[in-house]
Amino acid sequence: MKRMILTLAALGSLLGGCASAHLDTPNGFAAYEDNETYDFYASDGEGVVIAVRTEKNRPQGDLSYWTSSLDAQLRGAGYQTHDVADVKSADGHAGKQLQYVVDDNGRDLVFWVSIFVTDRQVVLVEAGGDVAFFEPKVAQIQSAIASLHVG
Amino acid sequence: MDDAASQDVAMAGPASEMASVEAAKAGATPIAAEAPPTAVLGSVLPESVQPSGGAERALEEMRTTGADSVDQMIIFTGQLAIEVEFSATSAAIDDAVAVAVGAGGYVADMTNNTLRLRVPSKRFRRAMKQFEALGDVTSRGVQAMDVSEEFHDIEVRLSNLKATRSRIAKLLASSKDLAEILKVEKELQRVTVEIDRIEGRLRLLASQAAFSTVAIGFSERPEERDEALVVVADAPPPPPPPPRTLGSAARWIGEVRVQALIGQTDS
Repeated sequence: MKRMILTLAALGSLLGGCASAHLDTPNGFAAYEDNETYDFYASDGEGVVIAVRTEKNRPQGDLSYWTSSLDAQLRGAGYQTHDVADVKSADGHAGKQLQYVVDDNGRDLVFWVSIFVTDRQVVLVEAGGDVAFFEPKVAQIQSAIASLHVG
Repeated sequence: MDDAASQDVAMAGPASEMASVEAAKAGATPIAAEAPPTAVLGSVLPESVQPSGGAERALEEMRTTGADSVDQMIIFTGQLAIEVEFSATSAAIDDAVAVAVGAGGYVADMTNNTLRLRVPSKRFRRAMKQFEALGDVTSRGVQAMDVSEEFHDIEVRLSNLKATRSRIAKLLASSKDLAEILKVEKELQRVTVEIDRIEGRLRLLASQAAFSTVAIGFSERPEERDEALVVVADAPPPPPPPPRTLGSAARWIGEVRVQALIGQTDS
């Protein structure tokens, strides 16, 4: 019986295609449940948000491909690149972190996108909020990203 | 009747003749003030409205009415739409005015690209041909309205009124009773006013028949330019279209936005 359950679980995991990525909720943040877009979604009391999005790796691309695609899309939407950094997930996947600032009707926002790519999926850790509220929490957010399990 | 005259007259049916008379009546005062009384086509006017033009004969004429229309009074109006070269409208307007003035006519109205000219009816056809040579004619219209009958009726009525006025004047001279004198004077005044009105109408018809109206609208052909030069001369080249991104292949990429991210807390 136990073997059957494990087999079904393994089959379900394979058929589902995408294992759910997750990370540790940063201190001072609260995780939301049942978000339709994100696998994980948490915010603090000042509107700073960190979230994990998982998409199929279709068309099949590597980290460079998805990084350049997202960067082009965001810069085309008016985002200004602040920095690009290498990151690593807790389970050893190398990723890229794109850091932007954008003016949203006079409101300066920070937006970080950390990209991890496997054969099956593209995992994004998105973090953002008002500059004034985001910067004091950079350490917690970096720590949370480092705790990511891509799966 | 020559070909052009036949064509002109043929374009004016009975309905337009009636309409023209009504229109002439309606517009009597302003046009009479605008147009000088001059030669009338084949009609005998009372002395008070008889033209005196003799110098016009020196100019070459092109018949506008046929030989059998000696007693006809016809009001001609023409419309032309002329397309000229790019930036040539001003020169074309100057040429058209020169044609009209050279024919003994004058400018009745002018804007940046339209003209209303009055030319002696005797030279209407020639003037139209000269106007048409100013560019490419995109539309042309000519109306001929016969006001002979109206003119004749008014002449008869004027003659009768003048006879009536003579009789009233004689009656007034022989009147002794003051009441009768006042009554006759009042009638004399009424008849005199009516005579003045009818003479004005005669002058209007004479003027309209003596001078034809030509309305010309000018338009310009688009400037022909070398496309390669346009880009260099007019403006810097347009910015290249944004590079194609993956938005159409992986739609979710377009949803990766900080606004979407932080907006989730509002829902």
